[in-house]
Amino acid sequence: MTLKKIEIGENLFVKNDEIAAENRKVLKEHNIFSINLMGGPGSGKTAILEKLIPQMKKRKISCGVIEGDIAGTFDGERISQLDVPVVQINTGGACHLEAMMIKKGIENLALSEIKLLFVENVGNLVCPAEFKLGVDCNVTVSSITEGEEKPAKYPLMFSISDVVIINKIDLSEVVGFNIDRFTDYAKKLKSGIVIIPMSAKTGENVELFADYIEKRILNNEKN
Amino acid sequence: MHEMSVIENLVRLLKNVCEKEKATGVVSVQITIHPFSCLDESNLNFMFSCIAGDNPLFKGTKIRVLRNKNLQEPEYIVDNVELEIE
Repeated sequence: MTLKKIEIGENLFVKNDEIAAENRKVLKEHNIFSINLMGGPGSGKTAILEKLIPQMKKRKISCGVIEGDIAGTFDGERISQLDVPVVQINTGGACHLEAMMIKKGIENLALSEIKLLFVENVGNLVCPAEFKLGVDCNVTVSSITEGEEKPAKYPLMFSISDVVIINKIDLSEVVGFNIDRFTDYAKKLKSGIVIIPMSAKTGENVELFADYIEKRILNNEKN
Repeated sequence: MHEMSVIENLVRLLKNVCEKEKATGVVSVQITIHPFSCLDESNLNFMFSCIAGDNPLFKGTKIRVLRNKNLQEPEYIVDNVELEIE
């Protein structure tokens, strides 16, 4: 009996990443810009979509949504009230979405009717950051009630995000939140990160996020 | 929290390697991850032994997890495996 050491150098999630690349290709072929919307449970992801999607519609940008939850159709039902194509995915236990789930979601959407696809990930500040889905843009929602140290406590999530939405600013006086500290922590992880303080409840600054998305879509079309 | 996904993919990879090399067991595996990735080495070993330990290939397999500051994106690279060959 002998021992043999073999060099492998292979990515364990190569299959996930291959499917993510396929997803990206399909979305690009249909000229769809896609966003992976992440954040802890109750941070306000669905509430933001409820305010944002009507604004995008006014800008003639048709939306579609893939809703991810462990169980239940609550969020999918809320989004369907906005009269946009929506698919609810239940992971049945997985705490994050993976590329195969997005592939199935894409197969159940009328892609020719969509210009902007939102993937609302499972509420979790840890695992979703580890799994590529094949989207154009990562956005993390962190509400002020979760505290200003979130970027330092969950570095991976914030280091892979293009945008951070600081939600629930309507509660600033009640809760107290040091936005400068939060911003410092976030920028240390990703210097170019875009930070948008927002209130999904009142609608404050939702249009700033809509502006950002519209700019990204235009830039995408130029390239 | 996603040790299950890691273990499923690892078992598949190791089975392929063992078949190719005609190995009778996996002594050790080294995996490199992003410094911020959330994977606990002792948790992973424990769960691996629970899930895959019945397979004679994986009895006593030790998984080592290293963190690489140079990885730009979250990745789980299987660097090398040490095999028992009859």
